Amino acid sequence: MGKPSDLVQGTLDLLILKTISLEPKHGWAIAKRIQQISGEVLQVQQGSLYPALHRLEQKAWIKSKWAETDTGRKAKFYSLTAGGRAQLEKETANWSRLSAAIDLVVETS
Amino acid sequence: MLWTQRLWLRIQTLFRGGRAAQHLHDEVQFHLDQQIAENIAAGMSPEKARHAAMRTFGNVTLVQEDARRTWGWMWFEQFAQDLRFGARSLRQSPGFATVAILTLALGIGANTAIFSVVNAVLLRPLPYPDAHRLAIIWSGLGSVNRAVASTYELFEIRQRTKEFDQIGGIWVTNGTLPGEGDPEQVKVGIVTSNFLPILCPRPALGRFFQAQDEGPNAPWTVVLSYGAWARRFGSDPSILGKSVRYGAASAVVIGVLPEDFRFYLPGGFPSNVDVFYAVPVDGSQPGGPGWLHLIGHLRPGSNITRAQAEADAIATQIHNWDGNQNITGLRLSVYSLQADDVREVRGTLLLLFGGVGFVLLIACANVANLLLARSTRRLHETTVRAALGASRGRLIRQLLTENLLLAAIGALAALGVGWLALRAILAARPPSLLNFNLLTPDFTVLAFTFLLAILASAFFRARPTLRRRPTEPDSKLERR
Repeated sequence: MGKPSDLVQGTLDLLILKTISLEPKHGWAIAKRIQQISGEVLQVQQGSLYPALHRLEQKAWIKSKWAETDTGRKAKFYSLTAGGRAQLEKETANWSRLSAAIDLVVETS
Repeated sequence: MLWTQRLWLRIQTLFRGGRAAQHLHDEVQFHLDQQIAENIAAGMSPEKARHAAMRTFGNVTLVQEDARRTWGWMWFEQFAQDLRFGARSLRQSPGFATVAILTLALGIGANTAIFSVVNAVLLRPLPYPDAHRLAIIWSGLGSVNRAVASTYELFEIRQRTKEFDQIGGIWVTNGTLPGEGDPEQVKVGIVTSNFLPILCPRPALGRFFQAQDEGPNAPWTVVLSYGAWARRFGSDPSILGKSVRYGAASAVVIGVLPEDFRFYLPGGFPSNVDVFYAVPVDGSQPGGPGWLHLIGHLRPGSNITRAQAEADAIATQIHNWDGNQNITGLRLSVYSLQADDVREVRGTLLLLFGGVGFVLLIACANVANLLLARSTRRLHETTVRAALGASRGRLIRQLLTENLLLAAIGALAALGVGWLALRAILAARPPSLLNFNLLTPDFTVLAFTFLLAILASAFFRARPTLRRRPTEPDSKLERR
């Protein structure tokens, strides 16, 4: 059993944006979600999530709000801004192009 | 707009830094608590659950610092932190701080004082419109240089010049103030009618002379300085156009000069002249005594060199008293008014400026030595910080900030020293500097002083003294 792959450099932003595109989530939920969806293959280095979240927030791609969770605790929920939605589309398109290109190389050789 | 939102976010984090940091802490704590809860649910003991959560999370302090770095104010926080620390460590060694600051204050202050004079005399243009286009024309004959010119010479130059659009002349003599009351002896300027407008665009009141005021049959007209008008006529504007007693005759006051008008003319020329009247430029009498200081206004596009070449040519065409021959050896010399005014002090000033530069260098060397001695004494502090994980760059930044703080305090004190030195210079200044207003607060001087401070601090040691010899790994960590 191999170690969970490190996140491909620079894709953390895309994963974060995608994960909160449906509904606002707090940091821990984002980390969990990414892990779940990717079938435990992608392991977000939990700590590195927060600098990334704060960077995206400073870029005004995501915004945050303190709200109560189901269990009644206060947590910081992140959601996409209009600018973030545009950025998500851009990065998704980039990613598709990149992965298609890699597929092509891998399959033809 | 995305960038306005970003700017707003950055400003918010700057001014609510403390709250944002608390929120960040809460956010991370929430994450850890969630993970711990999950681990407990999976069957771990609380203690083990906590450790596991910390392990998956990573270095909490580092993560928080990285997150804060994205707010973009890390450098500012650290700068403020370094400043506070620097101030504290200066307070802790008052002897060192006093000596270093005084040394810097003397070094920088001497430069501030001399630079104030250099700035006022050599750098700042004379307070006249088109100051760079003003020239003074001296007449010379035989071994006599820098002599005043005759009206005939002025007439001839005016006839021929293409480089000047105006040339006027003035002679200052002693006289009394016009008007009733006790006679008051003042400086009186005898001018050509075009002279005052060359140096002063418009009077505070009334008008300047016109050609008709020169005529022998015209009523005698005078222009007053602002001071004379205030003293003699109580600043009464209705005095304009009125005839007042002037010596045995009477004269009509036609205008008043602006309050701040001063003369900056070479050779002990008074800065305040209280009364002016106009005389015609008589070209009918070749020869004649020289008595006029000539001030010319260059045409746009002309310069001193071209004006001098032209003056050389004109000098050969001016006839002597019998109107037939050229005056042998007549020379006309054109200098920029600013340069000529400070001709006598320019060299001395530059020499002094160089001298105080060296004083500053010596002061800097002394302070650098003090800092070196101090850095050895701070070996313990720097070694502990390095051992606790402060990077070398961070330690250097800290020292740079401290040096800058030291230099800035030195510069503040230097402004005081400079002001005192300037007072001393004023008391002992040569006559050619009397006209200059040296005490005007000037932004250039202020900027110069603080620039010097920054340069000075660059001389200082910014390399932390660290000793980590393998043979004595812990000796510097021990407190003795």
